[in-house]
Amino acid sequence: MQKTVTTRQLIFILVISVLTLKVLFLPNVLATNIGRDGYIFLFFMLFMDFLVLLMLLYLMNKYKDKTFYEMLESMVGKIGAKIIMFLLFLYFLTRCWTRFQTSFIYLNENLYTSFDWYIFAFPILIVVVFCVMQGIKAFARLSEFFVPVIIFGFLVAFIVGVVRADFTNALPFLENGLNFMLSSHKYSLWFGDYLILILFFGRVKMDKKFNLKVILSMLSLILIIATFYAVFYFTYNYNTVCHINAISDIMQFLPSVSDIGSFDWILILIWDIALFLDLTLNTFAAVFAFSQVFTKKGSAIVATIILLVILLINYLLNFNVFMSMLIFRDYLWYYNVLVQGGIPLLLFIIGLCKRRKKDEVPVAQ
Amino acid sequence: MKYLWHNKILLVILILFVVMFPVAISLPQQSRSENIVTAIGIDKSGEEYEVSLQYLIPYAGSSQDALKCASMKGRTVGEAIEKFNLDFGKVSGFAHCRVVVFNDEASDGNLTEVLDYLQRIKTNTNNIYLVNTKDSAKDLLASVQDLNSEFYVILSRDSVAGQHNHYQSLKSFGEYYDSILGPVKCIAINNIDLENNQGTGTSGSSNGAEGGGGNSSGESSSSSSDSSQGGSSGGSGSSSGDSQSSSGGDASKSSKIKNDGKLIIIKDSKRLITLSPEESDNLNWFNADVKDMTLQITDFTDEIYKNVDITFDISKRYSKIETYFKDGSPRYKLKLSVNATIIEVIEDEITKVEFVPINNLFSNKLKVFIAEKIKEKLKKAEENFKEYRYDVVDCYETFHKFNTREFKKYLDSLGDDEYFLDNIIFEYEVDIRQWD
Repeated sequence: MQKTVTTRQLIFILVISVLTLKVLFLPNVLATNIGRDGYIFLFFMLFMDFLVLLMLLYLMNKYKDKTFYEMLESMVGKIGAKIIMFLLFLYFLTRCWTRFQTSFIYLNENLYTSFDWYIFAFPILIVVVFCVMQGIKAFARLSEFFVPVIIFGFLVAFIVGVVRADFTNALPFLENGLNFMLSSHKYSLWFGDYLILILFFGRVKMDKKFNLKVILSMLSLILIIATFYAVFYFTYNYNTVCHINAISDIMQFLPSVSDIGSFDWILILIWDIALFLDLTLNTFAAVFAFSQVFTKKGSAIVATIILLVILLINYLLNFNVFMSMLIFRDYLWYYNVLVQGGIPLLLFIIGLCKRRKKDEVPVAQ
Repeated sequence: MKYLWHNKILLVILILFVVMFPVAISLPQQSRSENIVTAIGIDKSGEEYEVSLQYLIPYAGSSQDALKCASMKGRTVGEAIEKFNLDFGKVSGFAHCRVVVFNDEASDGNLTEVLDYLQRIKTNTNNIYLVNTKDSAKDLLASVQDLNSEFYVILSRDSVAGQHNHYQSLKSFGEYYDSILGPVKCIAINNIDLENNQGTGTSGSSNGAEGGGGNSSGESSSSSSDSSQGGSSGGSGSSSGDSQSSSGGDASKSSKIKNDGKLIIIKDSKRLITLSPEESDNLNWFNADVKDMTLQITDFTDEIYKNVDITFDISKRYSKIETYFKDGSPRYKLKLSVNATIIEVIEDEITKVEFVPINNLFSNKLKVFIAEKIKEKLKKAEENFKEYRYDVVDCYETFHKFNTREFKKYLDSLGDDEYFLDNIIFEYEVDIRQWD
């Protein structure tokens, strides 16, 4: 397997996957349902996701030269591997669906109040298919170019929020206890981002401090995202429930000078790029999973079919990300929890057991 | 062509261009399809709302854009605005809206209900100010000439008018919802009235409006507005419920915006009380954000002054709030540090024409006197909010944040949160510093 992605590129790709959706509608949803202590919940959920990252990193290190599918075959056999890949394909399909919807809603809310989604949908899908045709190496380079811009935009919003926020709004701390943790499954739509790593098994040029770099970067990101929620809530306090779009609304406090234009608009464009990259990334993963199960040829055709399916679902469900949210919350969470937590855990345990068997050989000898 | 076919990036760009460009150039000018609304007036009358929209008509090459005002009636605010859109053939765009003005009757009803349509529209309404007016929001908006007029200057927190005395009251949509969604559901909102000067030749108080003459003129103020509308549409606005007014009419020129610092207190979405300018001023002493206040003391005598009235400019104030429980009773301690400058001294008899050196201006007696005066104002404000049971000084929030358990016990002992202010003991510490 050719090593096409560097450690830095992998970290940037993970940043896209983890960060993009968390700072849009999720803070409002958490503020409505959990309120002041939502940042603790968010930190907890991100940390649970981080454990999945650790499991996948372990497997990546162990099966350095194997793709994810090859690793699966060696672990659970061909049929088991195909079943898992099919489950993952469905999982990434739903992720593409939500990202596509979010991307549209985000543009519709911020830039175009009357925006025909056909005009939005087809050009963006053409570009996504085009990106998939170029391969993951090209996407990794693309992320290397755009992620610093995305991080810059995010940090500007973050700093604006920090300046405005009243941190005494954090009090009283855990007023209603930790009961909200029981409802964590309802928010599965926004998590399970590290599964995107299935694309990069056997493809990453791991440098000496590969694990450390990935772990530290992601831990920092987790802290920043949880703090971002806190800052957002502490800025608006009870009124947070009226602010649907966190990253755009927090920018309302930016003292803008008309001579240079309004920076919040620039941030909207930056975040639209982030959403596009996230959508492309998940399309990559869906195409990858699909092609392992059915055919390995014609990624462009597979991507086109996947995206047309998404369009159809959107058309049937009246193109509403909030309706999708309810579907995930009430029905798809079983599936999400199984894929997000169950599969990595299963593979991790199998990986550990295999190691033990190997270790046991010299003892038996 | 062959090159184009092989260069995929160029091909994709070309496809995008072909799809997007015709759509983009065929779109009409935004100003043809959208009204740029700068202010909204909501008058409730019985079960009906009259919504007035002040909108901007941009002229190319002109430095000053004209403001126009038109109104429409409906059973709800949303219905009136939708009717307005239909009538004008344009959508009302609120992205540049600075203020929502509503009359007493609207704030006497359910204000959250009145504002609901505006809160739900896609435009971010967070920074739109809310203003109450006694009689007619329509007349108030009709009297505004352009975006540089006094009305819009008052609405700027950076302006002297915005900072002076009224900072506490300039509340935005965001702040309103923050209060209404919070536990005390209380907020103080600015009140701006329209003062009718019938004789344009006289300056200032022609009809003694100060004493409430303007207040009784519900009819006269609306008739003055209608007469201005008569200039443009030739009829009274009340007949069809659809009236457009050019804001440059004669009668509107004779009306003056009156911002004397009155506040209305909204509790549970309804107007609880209207505070007089003096009561509002007392309340402002609780809020250190209020800048450039003035303070007057009368009949003061010390080693420097003899029977004088002194006016102070309060340039800066720093406040620190401590909440604690002592013997089971909640205590709210406000420590104020005030920078004061003498700006005027009025003596009954001029005994000596001499300006006292600045260093000697503040005797200890004077400092104590000022501090007592401020405490007196704070006490009066406290009595007022305890009497009417409104908390706009974040008393509940402060106890809730910093004395959570004890405060919860205290609330439980009361049975009803409504009475939480009754047993709170307010303590004041005022430190006066000379400032020049």
